[in-house]
Amino acid sequence: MATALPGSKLGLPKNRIATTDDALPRLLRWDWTLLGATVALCAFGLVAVHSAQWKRLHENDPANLYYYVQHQAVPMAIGALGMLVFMALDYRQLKALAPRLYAGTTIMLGLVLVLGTKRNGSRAWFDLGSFTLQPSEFAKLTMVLGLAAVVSNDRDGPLSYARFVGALITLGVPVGLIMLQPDLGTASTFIVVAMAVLLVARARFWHILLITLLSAVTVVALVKTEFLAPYQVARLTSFVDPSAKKIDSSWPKDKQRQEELINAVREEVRFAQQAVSLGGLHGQGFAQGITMNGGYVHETNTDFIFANIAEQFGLVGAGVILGLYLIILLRIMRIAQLANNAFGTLICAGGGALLVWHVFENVGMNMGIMPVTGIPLPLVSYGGSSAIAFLWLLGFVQNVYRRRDARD
Amino acid sequence: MAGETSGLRLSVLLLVVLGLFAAMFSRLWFLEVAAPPDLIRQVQEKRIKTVQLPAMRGRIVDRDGRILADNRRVLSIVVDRKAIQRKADRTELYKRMAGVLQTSVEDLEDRTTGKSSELYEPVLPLPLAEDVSEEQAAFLRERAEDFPGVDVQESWQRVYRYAPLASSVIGYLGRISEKEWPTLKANGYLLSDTLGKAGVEQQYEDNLRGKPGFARFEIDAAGRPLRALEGADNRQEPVAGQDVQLTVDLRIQQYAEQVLDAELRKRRLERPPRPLKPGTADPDPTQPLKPLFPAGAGSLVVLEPSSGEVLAMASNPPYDNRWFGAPLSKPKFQQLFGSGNNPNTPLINRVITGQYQIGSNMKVFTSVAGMRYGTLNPLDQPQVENSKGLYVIPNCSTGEPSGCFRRNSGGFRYGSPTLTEALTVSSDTYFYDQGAKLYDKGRELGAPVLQNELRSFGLGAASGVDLPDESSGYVPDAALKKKLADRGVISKREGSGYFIGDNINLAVGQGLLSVTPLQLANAYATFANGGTLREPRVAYGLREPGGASLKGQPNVLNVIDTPAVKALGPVPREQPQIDLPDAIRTPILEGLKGVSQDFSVCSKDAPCRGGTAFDTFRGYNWDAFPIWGKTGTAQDVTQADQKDDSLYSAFGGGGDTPQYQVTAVLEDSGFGSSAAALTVRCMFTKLADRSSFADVKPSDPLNRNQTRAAILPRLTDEDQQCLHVIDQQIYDAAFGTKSAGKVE
Repeated sequence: MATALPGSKLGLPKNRIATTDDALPRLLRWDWTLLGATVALCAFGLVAVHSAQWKRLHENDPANLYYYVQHQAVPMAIGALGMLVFMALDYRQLKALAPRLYAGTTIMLGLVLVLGTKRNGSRAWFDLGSFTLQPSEFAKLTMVLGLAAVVSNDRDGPLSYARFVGALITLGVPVGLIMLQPDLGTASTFIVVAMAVLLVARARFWHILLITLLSAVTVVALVKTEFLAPYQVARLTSFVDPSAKKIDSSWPKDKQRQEELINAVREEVRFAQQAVSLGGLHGQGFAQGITMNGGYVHETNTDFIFANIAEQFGLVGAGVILGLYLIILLRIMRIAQLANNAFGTLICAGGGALLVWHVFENVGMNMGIMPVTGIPLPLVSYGGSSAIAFLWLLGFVQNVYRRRDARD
Repeated sequence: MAGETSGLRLSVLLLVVLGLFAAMFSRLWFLEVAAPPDLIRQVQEKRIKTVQLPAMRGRIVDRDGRILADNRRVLSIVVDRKAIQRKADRTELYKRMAGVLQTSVEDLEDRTTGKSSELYEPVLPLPLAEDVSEEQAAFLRERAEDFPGVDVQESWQRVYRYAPLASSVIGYLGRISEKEWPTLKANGYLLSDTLGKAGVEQQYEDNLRGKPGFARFEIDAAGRPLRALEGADNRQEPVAGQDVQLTVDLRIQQYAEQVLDAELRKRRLERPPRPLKPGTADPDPTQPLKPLFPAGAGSLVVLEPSSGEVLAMASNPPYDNRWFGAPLSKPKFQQLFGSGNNPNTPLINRVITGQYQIGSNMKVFTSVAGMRYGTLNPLDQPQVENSKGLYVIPNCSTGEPSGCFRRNSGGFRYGSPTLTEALTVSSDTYFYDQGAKLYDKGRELGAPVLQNELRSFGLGAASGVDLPDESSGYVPDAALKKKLADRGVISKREGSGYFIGDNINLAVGQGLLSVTPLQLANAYATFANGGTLREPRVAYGLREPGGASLKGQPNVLNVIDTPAVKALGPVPREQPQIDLPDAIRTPILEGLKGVSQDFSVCSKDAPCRGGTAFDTFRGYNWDAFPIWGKTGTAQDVTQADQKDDSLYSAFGGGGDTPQYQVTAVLEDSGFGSSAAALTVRCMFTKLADRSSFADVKPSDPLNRNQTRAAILPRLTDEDQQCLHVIDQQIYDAAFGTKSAGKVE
């Protein structure tokens, strides 16, 4: 790492406080707790993905018993590699790169609306033959970088008006494109990230309030204008009233189909909760569990993987997962404090918000306290784009940690 | 970096993170440890499927243990109607199903929306194929995912091995009707169940049915069982139903059905002589010959007077109870059984529901009443005919609705016979006289004495036989006439009271009297057994399921009691035993014996005559098997151009006590002395040697294309001789066995 990176020229301040890892070579100055939790989470994720589909594969396609593990391990490896790269770079250089990265993912979000394939009612994927790419997952990452770059200001005082408007535009364009897919869940993550970044960037409270209001109005408008399919609405509202049967008469023609879908969604949410309940303390065991294996809940290794973990590994398993997330988040918050400049702090704040929102939304919907969306459980749900994006994000955070005492 | 505010705001973010995790941990705790029972139960119900384990229905066996109604396990393929609501889904599914079920998409579509669709209950899953192989069922079960909504149903199918024999006694099974459903549901029936709809199947439903069990399975979303749940709450084995053993001897039953059917067919073929060509002595072949007798229906019942057990019970036209084993289309149903108001429908058991006037068969009851109330001395020879051979109603007012004069049937003159002679030749005038005298006696005693006597013989009330839908018939009195007049069946003037003419008509079994063949048989049986009126029985007893042997009588659970008397219907029988002292019984038996014998009665103003049925019984072996019988010819006054109903009721047997009571009623078939008497004679000839009844063979499968409700096995050539079947070709044509399905 002694190669000529711009940041490294600045050297270390003379008056810095010695820390325990001073003795380590620079490359090894990781936040080991964060790294350990990340690795543990990835490992647990692979086990959970394997366990969720084991029975089905074992019965129907035993030759491909490790299909999901293999297909998840590859992006994880790519993610880990990227993590190393982002760790090695000086994150402050990213500030200059941020606009280009942001522009790149935003263009991809535009393209996916035209060239993407549709899944679960949303046009959010590029089908690249052997694998698919979900640009919105990477857009989350560039959103964190982009917003942090726009609003970071190391002078004291509240966020300037100009920076706030810049942030609004930075947020608005990709959110608009994602709403067109439509994928409200993913859009919500952007908004949450923006709120967290603005909060920490000392934005005025009414600015944050304005974003909140804007988002709420947008969601209501989407529902009211029938831009969303009724079952998508049902997914969103399922946690509010799981037993509601009312269907708006103005919904599209094949009413019966709509009703089936709506009921299926509500049913699925109930079954997911039941799966959690059936897990008990120790769970039903690896690849066991009637609810998940019985086909009552689909997406057992993606959207509803938490319910699956709870059924198979019980309170202990689910608790370990949540605990790992908590450790990771506490470390990110700590690193945000330790960061030696506003950009670093904001990356951590935005990244932390992104992570906690994913965890809360996904776990919440699995337990019936949040609407059903397609938001994955970070590093656990089967899905390459998301795994890569989150590993990279954690690479940024590690980078901020590593350079915490480098003076700007 | 940042100043104090930024740090403070980071703390806010941290607090939010901690808050969200607190929410997740508490929800997790709540769900996994303190799960709301409601939630679990609600969802669990969806995951558990209760499968009914059908109980094997009890079998029905005959007197000798022949299994008349048995069970066969069948697998059917049904599809949930929800899964085939959309045309596209359906076509897709049917394309795949057609190959497995070896049928066509068109056939499956026909069951769904076409002509056949009305055969299936719209509330139940639609049957796509019945009686499929184990392999087909296993194939579909294993690939439930590829065949959404398709299910294999396991059930027991009723098998009637000897059908159509005894169909009207055994009855059949049918689907639950809308009206029955609420009560049956409470009794644990499923809407897909079948239950007895007629005959013994209906009467002994509760015994035959058994107790269905159930098993509960955990199922996956596609409805496939994942594992069977254990414990008494989750599994209960079915208890098979009890077997019912009938008193009916199928060999006698077979013969009874055959001989009744053959005789009716023979009567239908009878033609009057051809009118002569005008001016010649040759018959005119161009003149059409109308059949003499419609002879459309009839009954024949064989009872054991000592026990009330029914040995045979034949109702004609017969039907085959296997028709109801599968859905019948409306046109097919009409082809087989006629429309709703078909008087000759095969679907009623005429032995217990047919209501007839009994004509001269009534005269024995009139005799008992006369002797009991002192209006008749059996040895007296009362002058009952005037010089013209007419009976004149005494003190007849011009207001008598039915006129003042009566003549003997056929215009015969019998002079002044004794009771025995009067019964033998069936003098009407003798009993007109009794009718009038009993009418006066009734007024004197203030009670309808003749009616009371009839009721003591069980007429006017259901016999209590263990079969459903029995008619009680009626004994005419003032109340009945009023009721009929109110309903407009008879005129207001007729209905204004019960007149002497009514009693005179009643004394010879005409008028408003209405009796079922079984009531008649049962009443006559009292003369054979010394006066005990029994409740007839078709079921001998119940047996525990799966008894080792049904031959003989091991393993009898309980014998169904045939009580001597049981109060039934609106008129309770007051006397447990009919008082029939020898003084009353002997002259009657004498008369009944003469009916079938060449027992000439001569008097100075009447030519010598034999018993009414002596011609028919010519050559009968009296010494071996004496019988006592009475002919009856009933005019149906309500339908002008109908022919007379032909009745004959007799009891007989070797030794001192008559062992059998045989009663035949042939509708619109002429005199009792010809059609009915011949049928009864044939039956007694066979009964004299019970081993002479032809064996019964399990029947061939029902040909569902046949146009007749039943095709009876053919009478043996030897047995045909009894019916004086002379022209074999005519017999074959009439009996329809040579070219089944064509001749009607």
